[in-house]
Amino acid sequence: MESKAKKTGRPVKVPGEKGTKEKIFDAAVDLFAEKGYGSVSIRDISQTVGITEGAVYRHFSSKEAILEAIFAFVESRIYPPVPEASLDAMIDALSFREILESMPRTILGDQDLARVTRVMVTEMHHDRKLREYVQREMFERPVAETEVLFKKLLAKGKIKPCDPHTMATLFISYLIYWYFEMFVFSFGNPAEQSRHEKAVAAMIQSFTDMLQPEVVIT
Amino acid sequence: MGRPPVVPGEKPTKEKIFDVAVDLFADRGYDRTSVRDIARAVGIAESAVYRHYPSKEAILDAIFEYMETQIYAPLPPAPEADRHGESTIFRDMLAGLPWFIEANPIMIKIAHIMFTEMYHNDRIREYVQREYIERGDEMTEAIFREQMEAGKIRPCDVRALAGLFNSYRFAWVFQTFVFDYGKPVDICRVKKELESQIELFEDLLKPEK
Repeated sequence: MESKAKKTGRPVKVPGEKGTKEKIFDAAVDLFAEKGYGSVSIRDISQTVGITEGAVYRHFSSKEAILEAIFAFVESRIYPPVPEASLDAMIDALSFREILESMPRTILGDQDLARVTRVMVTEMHHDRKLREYVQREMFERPVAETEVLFKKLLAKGKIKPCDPHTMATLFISYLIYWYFEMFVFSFGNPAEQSRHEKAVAAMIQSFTDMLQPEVVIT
Repeated sequence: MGRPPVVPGEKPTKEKIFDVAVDLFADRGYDRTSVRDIARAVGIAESAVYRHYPSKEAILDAIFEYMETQIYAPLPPAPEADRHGESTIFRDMLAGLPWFIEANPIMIKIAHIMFTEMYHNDRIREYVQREYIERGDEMTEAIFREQMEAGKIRPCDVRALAGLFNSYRFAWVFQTFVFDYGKPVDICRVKKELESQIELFEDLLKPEK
């Protein structure tokens, strides 16, 4: 049963095919997302990939190690704060609506990240550290960064006077709600996801209408 | 045999079962809690539980029914209404939210159950989506349309506005019943943040001159 390839521990690689470690990671993410971390075993993961349990352990010492790898993945892919100069350039180049639209677009553009954050969101109620991480990265940091954006837009007269923190909280609340619609409630339902993808455009339009700067008629 | 004596002032068994089930579902998770666990925690036989609830799913149904009475019941009048004179729809719909935290500890647990179980439990997810999100959107849209037609808020896309408004409530509930679950509540901070959002909506949607 043990082929020469297995003896060296290195599976035969087909060009373009994912490495085993990557396959294990992906399978684990899908299983955790579907059934919950607690209900998934290393055996489940190994069976999904089509390898032995031992082969899984060669890459990850434990199920916890896979979860750690998931966190590390999120860390590496989660968007870094936009440098100030880029933010200023973006404000000058784009309309308010276009700037806001870039946010859901970023989320949609990185489906791997969306899938993986779903695992974190589903598992965080068992794990206080994880919960604090998600709260910080999915709520607090986006609100803080959006607040900076709104402050700059206000300073440039691109939006009407408002409290940037309150505005940012409202906008990020919408993105979070939209994230849940897309990746939790409509999980595995492409037709529904498509509907929500469109709905975000209407909401952003409405948002920008509300925040149009007052027109001063001289 | 099997019927615990009812002490005056003590809760009836059915209510005890309900309360204990909510506690266990919130602490351990719905899937991980069995009817036997519930029976043991109440201090009765498993068969005694079945006399009141034919299954664990039936207890979940009872939880859904209970939520209906709480969520769609009229909120207590916002105390701010007197100070500001006439209240706005935004104030009426948001200012009562802290009441859920202050007055109703069982709702905190139930909301927590809903928001943590919905990922793996199809019934709970469908319930939250249908009753809380979709129905909430329909009701809110209807309310805002009425307001707009009465000239109380400026012309706007009421559907989008309802979505935006409800998304804030959703995020608030999530923040309160998931992230801050188990933490001591700073009611002042909560009220202050709600007040900012109320004022924002009031300002952005005030009727045109």
